[in-house]
Amino acid sequence: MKPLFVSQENIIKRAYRRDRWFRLAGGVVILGLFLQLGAAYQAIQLTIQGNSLASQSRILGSAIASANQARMKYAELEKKLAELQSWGPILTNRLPASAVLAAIEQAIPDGLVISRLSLKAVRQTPIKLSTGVFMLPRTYQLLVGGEREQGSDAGLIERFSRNLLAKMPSASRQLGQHVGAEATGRPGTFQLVLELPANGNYHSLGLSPVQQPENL
Amino acid sequence: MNSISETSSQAANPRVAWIVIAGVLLLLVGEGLWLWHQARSNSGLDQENGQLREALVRIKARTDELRTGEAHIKALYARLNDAIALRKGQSDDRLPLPRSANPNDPKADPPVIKAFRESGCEVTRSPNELGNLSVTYALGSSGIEFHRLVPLIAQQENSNTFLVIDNLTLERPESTAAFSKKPTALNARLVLRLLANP
Repeated sequence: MKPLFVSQENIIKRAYRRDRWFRLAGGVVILGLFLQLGAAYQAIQLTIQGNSLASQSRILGSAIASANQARMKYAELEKKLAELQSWGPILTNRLPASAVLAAIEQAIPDGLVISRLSLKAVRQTPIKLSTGVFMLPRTYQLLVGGEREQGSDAGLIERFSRNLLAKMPSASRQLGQHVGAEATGRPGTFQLVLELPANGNYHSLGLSPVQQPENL
Repeated sequence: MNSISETSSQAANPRVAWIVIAGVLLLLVGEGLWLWHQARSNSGLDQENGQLREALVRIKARTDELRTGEAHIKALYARLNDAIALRKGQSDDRLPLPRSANPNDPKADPPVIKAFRESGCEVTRSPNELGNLSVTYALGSSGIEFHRLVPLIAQQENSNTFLVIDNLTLERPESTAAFSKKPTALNARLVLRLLANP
């Protein structure tokens, strides 16, 4: 039965007020409005932060550009420093042959004499420099040959070998030893073969390490 | 349900309510996404600024290091660079003069080689070159005693930091007895290399 005394407009308004779906929609709209406040606050915060970060970025960019300009004044010096650093392995690892000879001289005991000595680079390592490659000896072979005084102590060569090895760069090792028998009227011969690494650790030779150019 | 309610439900379309709900939710989701995107972009910018700040500190520190060490670096470089041998016929930055074109001219030898030559060593330039930055010299002598040879080598090794000895052979002459007390000139042969400009 149709209501006769209520207008259509009032009926629709009543529906908007009373119908559960429209109530839900109303609730969602009110909730949305509340959330708008939070969202607006967040948006303002983020925009301010974004602007501040962007301006910081611009300032930092120009600071870096001027710092790079200042550094460009030292471009030549930087090139020299890079070259110094590339020479580092040569400066630190080069085995000073004179120090080896001096150590051999100190290690020779009475009763032995050296008649032949050879120090030979047996392995090389490439050092890359800005203009090319320099080959640096990595391992040396030391050969010491000589004579033993007649009637001298039989353990003399052994002691010399130990003493010599102790004076050589660290990680050196003996590769061979040959002791010839004494003949009538002729002294006994000996030969020692040592391997010496050119590793920059020359404390036993009485040398202190070379300062690395990297420390500059 | 009374008749007014029935009529009102028929008159107001509930789809309108759903559209409103969907619209509000869409708006909220859109705003949320925008906020999330903005926050992410700010965080990215912040990270980028951090990296720029670190780079700036690094560049400044490096510049300060160079400024502080300038005199030391220049002095060390000059000292070490002097030790690099020039190949024969090669001059610093000038064209070779016709007079200096002779590769066997002893005047063109590096100071280290000159010193060995002056000490009585025979010097020959060896063609054997290891790497492209070496000049190799073969030296021979039969007139230097051990006690003169060791300081000579030490002096040259100290004066040229890029002097590398590839081979060194010292032999007592056969004419000298094994335990002779007399000063003995050794037969010495050396192969040494110097760092050279390419």
